Amino acid sequence: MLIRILIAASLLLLLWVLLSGHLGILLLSLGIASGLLVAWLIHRLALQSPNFNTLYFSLNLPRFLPWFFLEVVRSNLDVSWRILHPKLPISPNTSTVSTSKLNDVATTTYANCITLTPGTYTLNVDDQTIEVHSLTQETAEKLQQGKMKERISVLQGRLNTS
Amino acid sequence: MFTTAFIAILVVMFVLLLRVALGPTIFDRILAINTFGTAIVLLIALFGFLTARPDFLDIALLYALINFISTIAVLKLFRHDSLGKSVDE
Amino acid sequence: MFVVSWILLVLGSVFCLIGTLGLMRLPDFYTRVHAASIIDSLGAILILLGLITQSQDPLVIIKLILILLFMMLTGPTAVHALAHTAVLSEKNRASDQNSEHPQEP
Repeated sequence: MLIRILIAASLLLLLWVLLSGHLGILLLSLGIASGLLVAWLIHRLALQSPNFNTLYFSLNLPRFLPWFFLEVVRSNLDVSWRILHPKLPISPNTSTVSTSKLNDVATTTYANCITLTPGTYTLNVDDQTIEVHSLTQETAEKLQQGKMKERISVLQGRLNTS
Repeated sequence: MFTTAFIAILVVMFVLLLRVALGPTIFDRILAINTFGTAIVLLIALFGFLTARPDFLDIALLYALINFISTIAVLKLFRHDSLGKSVDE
Repeated sequence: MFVVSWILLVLGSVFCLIGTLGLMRLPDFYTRVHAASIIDSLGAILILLGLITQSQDPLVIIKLILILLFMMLTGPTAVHALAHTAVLSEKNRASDQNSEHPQEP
């Protein structure tokens, strides 16, 4: 537990140094104090999920982000085209996608990624499903194929099966 | 070059205010205000570059965080009629 | 580098303008959220990338990346909270109307 707090505090100290850009003794000691305080507050919030490997997740993120960025660009172009089209070719609908085999953090990541790509956003998150509102029928069908879910389940690793 | 983007963002903000004034439901208004916050962050960052003073980026960073908290606070007030209750109740 | 930055800034502005156009054109709240998320995602990403390619100071670049990171984390959360609250209030209103109807003579 103490190790977790110390790791979080040193990461926060790194953020402090990057934001301030000064390395004086006074500022550094203030940074260490506030880093420890915030790390303790985060620990008190008990946000850490038990079956989640932060290191594995972070190391795999660079493989996920370029694909996700391309996906964001593609869906942006699609939605922009539909807005600029004089007839507004949209068919709004809601559907559900399953989040089985994803842990808490992966489910949150999945929901956020769905919302971040224009054309789809999450309305409701349950234990097993996410309710999605899509601008068109095609985007809903594309989401149902589950390519994004596959990528995110690779991200979380296969440490946990519960 | 920064001026082009600056003017574009100003136009965006004007239209967003129009949506705030028109918006039939309260959610349209909150959505427009939330997006308005995003536009303000971009505007502050652009202004910092326009006047060659990178200090403005710190303000933009803070505004990005405060914008999120204000949206959540307004939504919580709307849903529970109070800021004190926990979400689970 | 200068040309790249210029292209990114102009493209970002164009996407922001398209997003606002959608915000005015689309028919109801649930579809307008899609238009707003264009500004939140690609508009913000492209403008901030344009500023990143423009700056030389590493601290400035780090700050811009942090702004981008915070926006990408908080934006979807706020939009989800908004949509969730909208759905809940619509359901509440529907159930209110249903319970009011039998009382009417």
